[in-house]
Amino acid sequence: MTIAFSEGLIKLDPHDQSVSTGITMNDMVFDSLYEADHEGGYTPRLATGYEVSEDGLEWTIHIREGVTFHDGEVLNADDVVCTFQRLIDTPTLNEVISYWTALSAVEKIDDYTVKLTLSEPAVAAATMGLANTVIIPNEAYETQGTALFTDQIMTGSGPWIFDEWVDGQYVHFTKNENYWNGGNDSYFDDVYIRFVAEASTAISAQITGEIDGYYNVSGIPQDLISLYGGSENLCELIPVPVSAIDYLGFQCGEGSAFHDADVRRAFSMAIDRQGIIDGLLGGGAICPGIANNKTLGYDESLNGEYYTYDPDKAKTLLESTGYKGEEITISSVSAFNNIALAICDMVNAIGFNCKAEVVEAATLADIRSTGDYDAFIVTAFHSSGDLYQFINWRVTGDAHHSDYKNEELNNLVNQSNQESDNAVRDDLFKQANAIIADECAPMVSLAQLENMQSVNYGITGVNFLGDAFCLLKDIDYDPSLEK
Amino acid sequence: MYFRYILRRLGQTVIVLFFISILAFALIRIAPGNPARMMLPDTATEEQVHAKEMEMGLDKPLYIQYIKYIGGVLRGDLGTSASYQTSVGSIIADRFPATLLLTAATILVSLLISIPIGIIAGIRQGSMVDFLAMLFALIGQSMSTVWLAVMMIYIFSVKLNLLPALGMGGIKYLILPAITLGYPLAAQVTRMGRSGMIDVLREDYITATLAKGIPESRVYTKYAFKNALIPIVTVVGLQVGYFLGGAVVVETIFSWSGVGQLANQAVGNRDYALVQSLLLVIAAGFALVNLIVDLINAKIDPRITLE
Repeated sequence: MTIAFSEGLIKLDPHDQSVSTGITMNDMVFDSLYEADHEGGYTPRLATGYEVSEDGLEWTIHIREGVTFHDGEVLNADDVVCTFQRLIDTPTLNEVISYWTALSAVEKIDDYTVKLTLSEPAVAAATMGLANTVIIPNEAYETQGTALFTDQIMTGSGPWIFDEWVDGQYVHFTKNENYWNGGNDSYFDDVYIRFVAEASTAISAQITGEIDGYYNVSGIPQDLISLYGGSENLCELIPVPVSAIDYLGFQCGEGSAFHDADVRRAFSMAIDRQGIIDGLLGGGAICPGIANNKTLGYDESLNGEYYTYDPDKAKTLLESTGYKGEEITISSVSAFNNIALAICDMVNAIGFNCKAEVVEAATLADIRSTGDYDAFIVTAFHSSGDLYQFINWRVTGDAHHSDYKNEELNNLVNQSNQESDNAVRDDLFKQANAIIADECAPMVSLAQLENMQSVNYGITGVNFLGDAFCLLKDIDYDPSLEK
Repeated sequence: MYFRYILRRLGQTVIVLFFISILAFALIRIAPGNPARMMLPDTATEEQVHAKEMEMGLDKPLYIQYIKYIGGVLRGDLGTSASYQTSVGSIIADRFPATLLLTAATILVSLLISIPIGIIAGIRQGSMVDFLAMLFALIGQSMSTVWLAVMMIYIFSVKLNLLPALGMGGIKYLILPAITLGYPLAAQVTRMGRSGMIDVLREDYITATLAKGIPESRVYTKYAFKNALIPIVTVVGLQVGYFLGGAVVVETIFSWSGVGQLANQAVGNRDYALVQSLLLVIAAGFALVNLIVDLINAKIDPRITLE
């Protein structure tokens, strides 16, 4: 069983993964305390439950009994403490930066209970962290240190056993028949994830039977879908609506053209989003603000006035502002250049003076880190289907130096991070999203994406997720589904 | 004399590599982009980026960073890759055999095709064979490698199901990337072989040799071809040096994990240590191949002196 992934692994450390393949590997080889449904919901995995103190600072977690690692070591509180102590001791790990910046201490209460202490209430981050941080074996880590990962030992407790990673080629897993959760009765004894950067090669290989499925982190390119022609009985094409959005970020600071909310609104109304979705993206949906139907905070009844294409209204609104034709540059990596050029045409037709600029990813990261831009286009994922990370860093935390400030928005986001009830958080995010949609700041979404993926008929359990990951731990085969 | 010449050339190579190490060190730092930021999620705070910079040693003055790097190189330590978080030496050592293998296969394929065609076209100048050979060369030199790679996969993998579209393994995995990479070189060598043969066959010594009654086939292969070979060896040598630097497009399309793919990824990630060392290793390979080419040419043509 071989599934091609468009992204390769660059390291094995399960707490320092930044590519989707690493997340897939973590889910197969290890277990986390909770499991995300990737649309905002969570269920226990290694944990049986947890309690949070009233101030939100102490999290007492109960761990499941009867779990063993691949090397036979019993999983208990020592392993959970070892895992979280590693995060505290290594603050530059991706896992810490994404979820655990507030984690200050971890303590063993008994053999199957641990307590995490946070330096500030961070319910959202910690909840997501519990579902993303995988537990590593204490004894093996104490003996091996990071060689546990760099030497490809990779002892986990998950349904698949890590076998080998060949850089630039593949990662290989074998079935863990003794998996604690009822064993692993997959039809397949071996699963390979093969790294294929070029989409047309992956499609060709799927048609010839060299691979059995293809996951492209950005979706299979629309213009290559026709290559599947003639293989309709072998390869199933699966449109996957995801929580990811393509968005246009604005520089809203003093002196910028986009400092004026009406300029941003006019710009947004001049964009024919449906045209971009149909003509350039090949699928997707318009979603006012940043929330969509795969995330918390989505409100179907939200007023999408400024997201509705209306060039006449946009022109009238622009004329009422102080915009004097200052040049505006949309910066993006080459993958978005067509969209940027289309937007330039649309907004220039109502009186803007806009041009598109292609930059390298590293350059884009640089200009966003200093705020040295007018506007930029990127894709962003709502991790686990929760708006918190996106909104906390990109909007209120202003990681990209847009210089947009809104106290009301800040308060809503802070409240969402102290609230554990998902219904309340959903309501808070709805209010926050309404502000973003109305202010068109610091960004406007262009589209909620719909990614096309493919897997051969008969193969089940390839889980293309709402937050654009692909999980394989339940991969199996059902001959009755073959065509 | 050979030994002294080789020693002197190796000495010159060390000087060249020293300057290349400075250039590589400077160029990757001139390029916009912060490697620490590239290693972290884009939500990382300035403090977290700064902590990563310190961990990577980027907070030190540039001259200290260079001295540390070059000191490591002299001790055989190429540093640690920021993205892979493992030794640069071991990453390059893992990838280089794939590039060497592809280079060898490419050269073999292109020479096996181009040398006989070039010789025959040169001998039979103006014939249909010559016309077809030049057509073959013209197409090969005009064609885009990307297009050729995609067409090779379409025809030999998808339609005929004869060869794998991607990956590495036995000889069958080598054929498509080697032909894709080798065809433009074969086209070039065919043209050079042909023109070389035409020039040499006009020489008086060839006429004299033929007049002595030495069989044509022997004259062509032993006397004429040997002299036509010198520019071919030079061009092939330069191409070997180029291929050792990796063929990004072909490696990417055929999922061939050589140094080209690695270098592309390393530059994108602003992985300073990996980029610097890759450039150094590639330059060393290039210099070595050039030396070998000069030695071969001197062996072929005694008029070429090594001074």
